[in-house]
Amino acid sequence: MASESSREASGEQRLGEGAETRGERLLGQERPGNGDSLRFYCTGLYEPGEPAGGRSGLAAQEEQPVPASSWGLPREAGSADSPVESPSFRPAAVFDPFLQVVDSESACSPCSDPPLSPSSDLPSRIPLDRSHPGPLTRDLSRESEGDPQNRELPEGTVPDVFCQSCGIPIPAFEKLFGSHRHHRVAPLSLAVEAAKMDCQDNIRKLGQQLVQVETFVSHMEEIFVTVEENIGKQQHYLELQYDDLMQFLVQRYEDRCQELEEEKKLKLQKLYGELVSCGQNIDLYKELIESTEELFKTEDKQTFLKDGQTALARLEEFLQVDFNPELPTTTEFEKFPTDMPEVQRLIDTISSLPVPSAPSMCPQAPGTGSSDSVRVSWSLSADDTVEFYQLHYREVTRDTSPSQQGAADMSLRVKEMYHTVRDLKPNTVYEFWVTASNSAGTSPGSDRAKHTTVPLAPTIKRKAVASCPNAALIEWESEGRNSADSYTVEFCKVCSSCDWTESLTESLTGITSCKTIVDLEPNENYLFYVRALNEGGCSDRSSPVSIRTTGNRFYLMEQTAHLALSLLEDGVTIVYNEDNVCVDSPNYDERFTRNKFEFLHNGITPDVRITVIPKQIGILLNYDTGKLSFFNVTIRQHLFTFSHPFQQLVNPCFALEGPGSLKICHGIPTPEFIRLP
Amino acid sequence: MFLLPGPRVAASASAAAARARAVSAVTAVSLVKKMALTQVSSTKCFEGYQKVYEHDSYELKCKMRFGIYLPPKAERVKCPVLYWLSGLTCTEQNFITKAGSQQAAAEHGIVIVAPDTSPRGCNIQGEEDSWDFGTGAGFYINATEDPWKTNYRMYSYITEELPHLINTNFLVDSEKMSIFGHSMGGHGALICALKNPGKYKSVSALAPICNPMQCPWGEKAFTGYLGSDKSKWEAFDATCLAKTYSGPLLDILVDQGKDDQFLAAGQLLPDSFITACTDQKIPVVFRLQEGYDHSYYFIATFITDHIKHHAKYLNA
Repeated sequence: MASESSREASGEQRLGEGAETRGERLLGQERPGNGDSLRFYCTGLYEPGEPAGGRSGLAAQEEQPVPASSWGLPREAGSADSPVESPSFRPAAVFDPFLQVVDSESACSPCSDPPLSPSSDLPSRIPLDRSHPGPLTRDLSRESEGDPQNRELPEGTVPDVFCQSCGIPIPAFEKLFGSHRHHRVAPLSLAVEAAKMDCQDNIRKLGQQLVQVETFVSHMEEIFVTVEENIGKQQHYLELQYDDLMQFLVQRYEDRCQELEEEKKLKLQKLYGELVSCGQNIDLYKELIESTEELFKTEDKQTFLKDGQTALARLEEFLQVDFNPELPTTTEFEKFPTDMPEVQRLIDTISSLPVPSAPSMCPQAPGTGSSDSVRVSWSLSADDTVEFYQLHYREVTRDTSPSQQGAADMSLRVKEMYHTVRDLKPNTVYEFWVTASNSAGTSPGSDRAKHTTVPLAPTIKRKAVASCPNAALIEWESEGRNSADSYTVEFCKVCSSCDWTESLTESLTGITSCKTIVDLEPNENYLFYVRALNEGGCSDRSSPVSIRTTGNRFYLMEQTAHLALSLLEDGVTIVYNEDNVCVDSPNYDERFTRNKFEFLHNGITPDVRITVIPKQIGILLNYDTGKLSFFNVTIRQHLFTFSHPFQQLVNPCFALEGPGSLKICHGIPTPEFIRLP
Repeated sequence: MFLLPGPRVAASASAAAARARAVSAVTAVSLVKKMALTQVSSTKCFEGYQKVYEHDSYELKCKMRFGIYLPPKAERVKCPVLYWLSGLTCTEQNFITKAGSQQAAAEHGIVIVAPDTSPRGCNIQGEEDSWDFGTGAGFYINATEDPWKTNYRMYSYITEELPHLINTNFLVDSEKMSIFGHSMGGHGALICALKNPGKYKSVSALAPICNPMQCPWGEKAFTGYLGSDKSKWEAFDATCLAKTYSGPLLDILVDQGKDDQFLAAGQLLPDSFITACTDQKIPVVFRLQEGYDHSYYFIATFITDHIKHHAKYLNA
């Protein structure tokens, strides 16, 4: 009881102090049965040994005699550093702050964490685990010395600030002058606010827990229902199976009965036959005997001897017949096999699970395919329980009918009711079917569904693209061996000032050939994409091609261009580079070495001499009237016009015969001096 | 009204008045002379009218005829004028009947004037002796030799009198004038254009005599009309004129039939003209047309191209 005595001592000491200096209200009550210890407690004192439920009782009736002296830390100036122990503190799980706040008199809580950190010579101090406890939190490890006087308000004072260290409302001057002057204080309203927030937090947490429990309950209900259903299904199936078995057994029983019946009849008949024949024999014997005996009665010896001879002969005859009565049939019955194996088999098949029925395949949903995968899904009848599915597929051609049931190329084991099958070939039709399996067995195969993969994105032939101010001609090629059903061309304007952003995209759908002409606005920059479509859906976009409606870009024709010619990056300037001239180029055409101007067509050139060599040649094509004209633009001189009805596309092509460069300007409006006929 | 000499009533006043009247009388006479265009024929053609007029020429001192095609547009609007100079032996009729120019002229709204090739009926000795000298072979020069110098002033007629006549008598755009011709007329068109920079908006020629000084025809004609001083010939030789030409840009179109016998005979000599133009940077498009000869069939084939060529500048 060392602690007890030390408590005593300190209690006295403090009493003394308190009574002298503080004048704090103090209630003391001596507890019976506790020896000489003087216990002091005050109303509202928090007794740490108290169980949580009893917390609301701020009244100080405590079971455990834990006087204030048992609290931990010495208070500020002047208090003796008496070792104190902290009994095991069990903080209340739910602390009701309102009681404390409302009842100011009783709202004394032990001071916690006096601003002066206690010196380390208190060995029994429980280390601080919270540095700044709030007004209501208990730093129970650092309770101040249990000086009840410090926790009580002086008589008649009205608290107007809240001491966060002690957790009690105190009058302001206490802060300034009193024992709380080193504590932290906060205005009462703030403290109230903080307290309310804490409460709301707790309420919220409670609410969440409530929700959780509710969801759990509903989940349980679902499981309940499911279990009921499933067991019901199993019961039903079991009934069916046993019905079957019963019928089978009954049937066998009846069959067997019938067989036995027939056998019995047969045997009885035979026996009866025998019986009859034996009876006849008996009659015969009797007759013989009677006749023989009658014979004995004849007196005439001659007749007797004669008849006797015959009778004797007859008797001997009969006796020679071996009379060996046998039973024509056995008395035992054949043992029929009781078909036990069959019965056994039936019993074995009685299990709680039925074999599932065939699932049904869902048709291909639009937009779920890609060029190398399709999403296949199927549905199941409600009665079945399935462990896994086996998905089979094979490649087919478009006109394969479902009745041609070939073997599967591939099979996959799938747990879900859908699967995305990958690594397929683009633009190909596949047939899918599925079987469902469980512990009882495997269902028959479902109907076969055809799914088609989407084609690969086509490639736009960059060199085949042509444009004029009002339209563009796009040509593309589709990859893969099968051509797609149709194509979609998408294009959008590119804003020249800002970055490429997808503003308005126009689409042309239903294009069946691999080229199309699109009407566009002049002097704009467009990006074009092409997609291929088939019954499986739409392919990805092709790589974009930029088209400007200011005229074409030109490309070097690799087969016929002289090696010295090269094209600059702007796409419109050809350069004849002297450094690259190699004399013996095989493609160098002789025609390009003459000095005069030639206008060549069909191997003929008109003999035209031009005196002023043009610096700028204007080329005008009037396709409708079949005229191609050349002009010296600088002096507005007409050089030559070809008149030839055009039937196909007319493409301009340029070359240089000597060193220099040629720049092509297009998109020029027709000059006025051009007179169109 | 002619002034009739009357009694001298008031000496000074009447003298002054008389002088004034004399002046006006002379003016009146010349006006009357100028206005004395008599229409010889008028035929509707391509909705316009092909007319032939006759008048007294003061340059040539004889009656001259010319053909003029007025396109349908000429009724409403002042149209530009294109002068056609015909070749050796031609009259004003050859072109308007054989060349087939009316359709293009109507389409482009151009008045085509086709004068005669030389003065006629002047009774000069030797004028009928050859087809390539004298009548029908005026060579569009102003002769300086006797007996030709009085009448054979085709250059002035074509460049001065005729335009004046046309401008005053017809509703035409006097600022827009072009000239073309065939053979000798081609030579004439070239020299008129080269000697009068800026007067003609455009010039073209079909099988022209490009360098008359060097060809037999030219030598014969120039000797007869201009004398033997060859320095005087240069003023009427298109090639020589081209070598020294400086003026506004002329766009010259020349068509030449490849099977033209005169080309083969060295009468036409286009190469020297081309060379001269190349050196002098005069824009020429010279087309050697395969299979064509010197006839009006050749002219008819390419007349539309030429009219179009002129229309580009006349209607600009």
